[in-house]
Amino acid sequence: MNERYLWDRTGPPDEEIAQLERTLGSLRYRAPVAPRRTIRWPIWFAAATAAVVCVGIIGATLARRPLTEWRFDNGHQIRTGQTIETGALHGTRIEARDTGEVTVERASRLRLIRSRTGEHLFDLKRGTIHAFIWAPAGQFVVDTPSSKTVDLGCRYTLQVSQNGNGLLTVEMGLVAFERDGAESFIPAGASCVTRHDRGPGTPYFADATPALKTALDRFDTSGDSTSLADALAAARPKDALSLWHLMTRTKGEKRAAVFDRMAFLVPLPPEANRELILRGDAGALDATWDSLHFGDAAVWRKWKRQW
Amino acid sequence: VLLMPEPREQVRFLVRAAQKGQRPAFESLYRAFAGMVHGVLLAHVRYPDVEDLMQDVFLRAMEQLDRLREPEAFGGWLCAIARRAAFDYHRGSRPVDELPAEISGGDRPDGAAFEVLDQIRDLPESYRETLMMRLVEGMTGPEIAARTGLTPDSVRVNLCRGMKLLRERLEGMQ
Repeated sequence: MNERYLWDRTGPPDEEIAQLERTLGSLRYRAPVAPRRTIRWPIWFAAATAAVVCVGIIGATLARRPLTEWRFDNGHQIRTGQTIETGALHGTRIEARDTGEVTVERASRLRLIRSRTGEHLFDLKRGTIHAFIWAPAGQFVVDTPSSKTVDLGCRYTLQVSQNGNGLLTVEMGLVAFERDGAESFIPAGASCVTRHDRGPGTPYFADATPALKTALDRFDTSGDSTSLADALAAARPKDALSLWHLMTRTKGEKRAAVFDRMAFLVPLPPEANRELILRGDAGALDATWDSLHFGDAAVWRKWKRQW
Repeated sequence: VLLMPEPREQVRFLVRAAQKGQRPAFESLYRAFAGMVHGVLLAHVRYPDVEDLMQDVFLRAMEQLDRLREPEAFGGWLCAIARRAAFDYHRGSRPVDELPAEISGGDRPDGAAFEVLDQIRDLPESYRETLMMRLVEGMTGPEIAARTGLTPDSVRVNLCRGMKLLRERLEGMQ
């Protein structure tokens, strides 16, 4: 019996265990899918129903406090366009019941740009926020002077300095940084710098070696040729997170070097074809990302289209 | 909320949020632990009744959640509720008439799965639950340990010994 395969499904598959998995897999718990019904109603009926529903919605809106409202602990509501500016000594906390909670640290400036069902947009000009979001992915977005921060289901800390640079540290889930097409995905345990003049940097795990962190910083700021080689040399298998991002930010021989180092460190799926990757094929890059098990690239593509 | 492989802290935060009445947080816990509860119930209860009992387990958990003092213990606590629900199910279940032998029809397409399921149910309880989570629910050993609160060593022992026993029994069937 292959105990390693039995333990965590790594190593060569144990044929007998794999057969049992296939046989018993049909009994596995499957989350129920809500049925969709399509009914054709006469137009007059639809119009009358719509009118009644509109009246109902207006009445319900007036009667009940929406779950999407952001409120302080004392119950005061923050309205669109208002800014929370904390002093030098104390921070504050806000919460929307169906979305999440945001702790605003002292000396911070956070503005509510837009808030409605399924969409919450803030602007962090400076300071620090800790966000714990339970709304579905893609609904909670924080703009900073250097990047847009999109929650993909998570808890994270975002800091913005006086000069507009930022640092994102993710404690659970996955967060995306985006500016002008440049993207960074930051999973739990990782951080990413964003610079006002360059946008999102290359993410790295907190426990990465100082050599890797230094090399990534040099690559992000000056892009000098030795920084890439140093980063590749310092990368561990776990640092495939950083290597994947480097792959999306290089071309030609440099991208080939990153791909080869990545393929040496971690198993890649057949879709991660070297030629396709070197051509910048989005499908191959997404498949490579998915194989790292930090999150599903399709989730990001779906939400990004909605902006 | 997308739930990644849960570090304990993530469960702690979701439990705390659920204790504060955050319904979406409890839904996230449901999604994360449904497989585990399904596996535990399968170890004790007939397959057709498992889904109904799952609802019962999570309903009990939601009602009693404010009594859970250590959010990190949520998985083990939920396992205990599932075992209790299975125990109540057996205590309150009515005798079922035997089906007549001459009912026509082919074998169930998943007949082999039910035969293996019966063999796993005959194993000692600790092996039974762990193997259900591993072989039916597709959880790895580290995931089982993280969800149930068992130590990785205990899970490893349960898996290895349970698999050895199961293999002997399946060979005996052939």
